[in-house]
Amino acid sequence: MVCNMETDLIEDMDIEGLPSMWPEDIGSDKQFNVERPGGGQDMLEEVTIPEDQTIVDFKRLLELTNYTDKGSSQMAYLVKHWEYRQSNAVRLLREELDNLSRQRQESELKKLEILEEHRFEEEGYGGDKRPISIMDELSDMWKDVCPRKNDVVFQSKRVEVDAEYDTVEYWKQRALDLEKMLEASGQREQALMEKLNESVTNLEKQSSPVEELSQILKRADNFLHFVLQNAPVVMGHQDKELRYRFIYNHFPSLHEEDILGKTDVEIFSGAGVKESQDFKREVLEKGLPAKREITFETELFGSKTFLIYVEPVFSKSGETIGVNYMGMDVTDQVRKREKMAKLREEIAVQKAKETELNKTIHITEETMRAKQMLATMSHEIRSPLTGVVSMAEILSNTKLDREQRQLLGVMISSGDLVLQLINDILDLSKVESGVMKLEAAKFRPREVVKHVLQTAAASLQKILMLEGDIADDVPIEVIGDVLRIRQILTNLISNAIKFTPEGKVGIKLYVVPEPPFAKEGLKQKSKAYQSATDAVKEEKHQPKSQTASDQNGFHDKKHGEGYQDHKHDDDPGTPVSHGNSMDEDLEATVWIRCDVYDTGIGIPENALPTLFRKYMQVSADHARKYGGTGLGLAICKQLVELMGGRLTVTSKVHCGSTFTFILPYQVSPIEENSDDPDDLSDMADQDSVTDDVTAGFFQFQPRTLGSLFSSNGTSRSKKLLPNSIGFASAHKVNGFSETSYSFPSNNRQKETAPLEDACSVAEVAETLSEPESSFSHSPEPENETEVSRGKQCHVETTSWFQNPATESTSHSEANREMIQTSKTNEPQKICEMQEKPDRISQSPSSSSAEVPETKPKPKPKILLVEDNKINVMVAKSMMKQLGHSIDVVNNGVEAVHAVQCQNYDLILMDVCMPVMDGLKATRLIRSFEDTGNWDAAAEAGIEQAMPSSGSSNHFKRIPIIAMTANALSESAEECFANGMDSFVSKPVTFQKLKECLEQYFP
Amino acid sequence: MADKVALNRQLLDTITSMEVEGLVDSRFRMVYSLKEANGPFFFAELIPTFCSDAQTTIREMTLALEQPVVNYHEMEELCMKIKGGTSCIGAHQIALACGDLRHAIDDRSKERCTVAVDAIRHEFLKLHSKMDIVLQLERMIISHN
Repeated sequence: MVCNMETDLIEDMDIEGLPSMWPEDIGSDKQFNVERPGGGQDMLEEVTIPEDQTIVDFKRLLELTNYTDKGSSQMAYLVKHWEYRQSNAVRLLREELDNLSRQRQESELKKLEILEEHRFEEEGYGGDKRPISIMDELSDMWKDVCPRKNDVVFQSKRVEVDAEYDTVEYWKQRALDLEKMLEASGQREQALMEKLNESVTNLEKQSSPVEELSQILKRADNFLHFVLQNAPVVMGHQDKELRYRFIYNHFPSLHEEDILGKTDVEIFSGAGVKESQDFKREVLEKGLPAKREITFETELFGSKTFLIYVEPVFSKSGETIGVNYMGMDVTDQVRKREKMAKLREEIAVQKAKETELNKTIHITEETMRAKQMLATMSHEIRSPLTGVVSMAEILSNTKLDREQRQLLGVMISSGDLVLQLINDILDLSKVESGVMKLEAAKFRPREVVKHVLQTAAASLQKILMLEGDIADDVPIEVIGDVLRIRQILTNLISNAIKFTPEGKVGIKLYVVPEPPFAKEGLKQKSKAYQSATDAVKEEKHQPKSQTASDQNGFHDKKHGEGYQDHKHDDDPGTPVSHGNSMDEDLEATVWIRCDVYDTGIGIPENALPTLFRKYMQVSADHARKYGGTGLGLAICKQLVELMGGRLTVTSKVHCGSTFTFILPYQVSPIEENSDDPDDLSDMADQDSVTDDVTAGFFQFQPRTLGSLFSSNGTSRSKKLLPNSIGFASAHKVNGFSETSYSFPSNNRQKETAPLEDACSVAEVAETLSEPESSFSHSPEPENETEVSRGKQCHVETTSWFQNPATESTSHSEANREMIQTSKTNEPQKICEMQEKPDRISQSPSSSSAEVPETKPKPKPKILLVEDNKINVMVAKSMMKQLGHSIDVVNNGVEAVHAVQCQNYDLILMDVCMPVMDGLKATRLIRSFEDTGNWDAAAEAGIEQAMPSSGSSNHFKRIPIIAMTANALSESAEECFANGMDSFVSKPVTFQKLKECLEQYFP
Repeated sequence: MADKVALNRQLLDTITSMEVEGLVDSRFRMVYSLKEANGPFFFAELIPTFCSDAQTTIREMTLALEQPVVNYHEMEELCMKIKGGTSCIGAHQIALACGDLRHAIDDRSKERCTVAVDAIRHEFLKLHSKMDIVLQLERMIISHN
């Protein structure tokens, strides 16, 4: 029983005590932070680790451990650790020993107890009165706690003793049992002793320090291998000379012996090697660890990028003895990174493009809006202004006294000035917003120069010599936007005159070789002209008779001038030889340089850069003294550049300025008997082509101070010469003797006025005191038109009224007469002139402006196509006032019908109409003119009302004038594109209507 | 004769006052002056024509705007019609209001169209009363002839 109990106890101890007091592995987990036992170990075992990958120079390693700080500290740590473990083991052993000895004592105690018990029993057996009285309770207690178990055991044991108590048998049996128990106890003791011995031997076996260390190392090694087996990592140690002493490389491409003892440079060659070597050296020198990314490009492993970490290794004394080196292959990452960067860059570029695009869209929208605004502006501003002017116009139709007429003149010319200003601003904004379109028309540069100078001379109030000098090689006719060129010239000339107190102002024209900026300019220009070229031809569509008379008029004037300034013009008759040669190269481009020079106040150098800017003037003083808005030059420059040229200026203070612009022109052949002279050359003289067309020098000179004087403040004659105030005489250059400018001329105003009224209201003021014939005031209307609408027709106007008087058969005679008068400069001319206004003045005063009485010319048949009743009424009455009666239809279909039934000389066509608009109707009519049949109209669903009254071969082109509410040239183009000849913007004014009609019915 | 001169002056004064008020611009006077060349009845005929024309157009515009789906094309034509007439005769304020209407039509805004047409009607009514005076004077002048 006891024996069982003892065994149990010991077994308990075995199980409980040993594991708890015997840590499996001390320190290993602390060192590597790894759960060593169990799975971990197994895992490592599963992995086969080839050991030959570590290449170790053991000698060096020993050295390292001996001499380096790190090595020694590592060693010290290991030793300490080992000592600790050792002491721990000793302690445990001691504990174990204690334990064992205690057990032993216990067992001995038990043994004693047992023995004692038996003795007691024997004693008790001997004498029951054992003196335990005091201890009774104690023994009781003991009995309570401990022996209970025993009781049970003993009782059962006792049961085994069959013999009767206190018999010999019993005692014998008892002795036997005890003996057995003793034996078992001894056996147990033996076993324990054995176990102890075993433990001791075990302990001895485990506690070898080298074994322990190497095991730890091996575990560490295994762990490192496990971790690093697939890592793209290279580790190494290099000595002071950067020779490899140790290297770990999982993917070795070189053998150990190839690497150890060598430097990078000796091993590899290629890009990056030197850099890494230098980097390591740097670290070595600085003594501070560093990281760097280095891209290698070697034969050995191609292009790879490594992130390299290098740290210096110090000896115990603190000097660097080498570097530890660790490299990681980051090629993929770098590639990805670069790709990312590239992508990011692309995205950024795309974004920038997008913003750019958005900006462009925005700008385009802005431009559209600007266009829209321009259209509105041009209409909204011009309409009321035209209202003012036409008001004045009407007023001038009424009976007025002299003073009123003068005031009216001021009013009209001021209105024109405002109109001009608005046009300037509109021009500028048109050019800037890209709306401005250039027209290409044939014109004669000589004429243009001459007219510009004449115009300038006409309003001249200073003693200035105006001269024009055109080189012989300048073609007679060129193609360009004559209106704009005139605008530029007029602007420059008026500037020159404004700033020139005395001396001369002039224009020089000569051909220059193609300038360097030509190419781009040409491109631009051709683009700008493109849209307009089609329209040009149609514009030139003019009746022949008109031309002839105009030419005559011009011819006369030419002569008049020639004789006015007898000093010059001495060689007007010499034809220029190259005129013919020009015929041959039809489409050649010629670059003509134009110098506008003066002897004025000049421009200070510091003002030159800002000269062409908007609203810029040389100085505030100048602005006060000379007036002006500062827009002129800006417009000139923009226009010149739009046409593909350059505008430059040279100037010297107090000596004068020269504005130079070079423009490309197309050269057109000269038609000997031109049927369609362009709108400027229609003044040119065909009869005396040889004189006029090639004349290269003009000079305009104020004859006398008196005649310079302007009667009142017209728009272009603001400053009067002080000494001439008080004279109300003609301010024009004319051929009158000094006496003619005084009173008689004023008397003639009345007679002249009606003529002037009928021609052009704008010129009234300036012609008030001007008694002479139409040709001498022709520059005036030229100026007016140029400035306001760019339409020339005043000259024609003049001839319109002039014509009836001097009909084709007689006009040559009349011309001669006039030549005579201007030549001789005699009062006879005055009479002649006086006579003429008299004749003409009758016409406008009557309700019909036409003068059919004096001339059997049939009235032109005019058709008005307009749907708005009010417009019809007003237009009709306006036409009536102008001396025309008209037929009216209400839409395009009716217009086609009307044309089918009758021949018209002119059609005024509204563009926007119900049923059929004006554009379509025009197309149908044009198609009829081209083909001679109404098939196109039939296709459009219009039945032919009646056979055309015209003869079958009479398909003459009917001039069609569009009436549009849109003032922009855009809609004009649309009109031209549909076959219309010109257009009038609504609301139609007298002036516009008249200009238009005069163009077609001179 | 003196009567006629007085009437003429009265008429011109009325026109001037209309101009000052901004109801009409210079074109109106110009149109008036056309009668000199076109017979005495020209102006007396023109004004009623204009008024009835404008009235009809305004009515049509109002009707068009009352439709559930506004026919902007029709509106545009009507707008152009009334603008053509008014700017021709020089009814400045109406022409301006027509400009607004045009913008509203371009923007396809029924609401603004309604406002603009109201403005046109308002301006027309203002003008109409003046026109009546002018017309009466003109008729008196004619009867004096």
